[in-house]
Amino acid sequence: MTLLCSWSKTVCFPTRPGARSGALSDVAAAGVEVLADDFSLRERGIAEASLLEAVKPAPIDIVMDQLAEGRKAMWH
Amino acid sequence: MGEKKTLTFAIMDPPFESARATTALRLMHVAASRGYDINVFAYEGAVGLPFTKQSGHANAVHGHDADEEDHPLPHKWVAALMEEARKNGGKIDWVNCGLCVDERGVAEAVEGVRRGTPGDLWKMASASDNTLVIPTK
Repeated sequence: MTLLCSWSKTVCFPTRPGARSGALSDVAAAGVEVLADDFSLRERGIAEASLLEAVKPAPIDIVMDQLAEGRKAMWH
Repeated sequence: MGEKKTLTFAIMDPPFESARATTALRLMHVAASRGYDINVFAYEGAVGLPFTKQSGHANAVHGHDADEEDHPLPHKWVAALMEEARKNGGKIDWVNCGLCVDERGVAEAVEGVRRGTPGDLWKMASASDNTLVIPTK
């Protein structure tokens, strides 16, 4: 399972260590691949180095790759 | 280019409000650049995305006239997506929920947008390799 964090202050900002990042660390520890949309990170001035260790920046193309593979996608 | 795919997107967010609509269009741009066939079912506020009467404006704070401000207009993005898909051998079938259009008075849409009903979403999803629903909050 992959989780792509994108666009919002509630979703993108917790990719940095902080009070609201615990849930992302928990799902990563459970084996979920946690990615952050690199465009959204740049828009918000969030440097790759400041991300949680479990979160990797990725282009939005990866969503299209997985949609094309037929993987089920849920927007939340 | 990989195997041609058909993808359906259902979108709900209006223009000029949240980044959800922008992100949805970014996703469609990736699909269009790959030459995929794209179906879009726009409902509620999203029917305003291709509305051609959106217009730019000056920005007095920055001292820009309308041309200098070059305000981004989603209907131009939708038209550009249509062209990008065509250029790469794909197409976009964009269906605007007709009742949602009437409620909002946004019938004037870019070329290639047609009116429809939720039944079109079901048909599109049934004929697609995958479907992504992007609801609003």
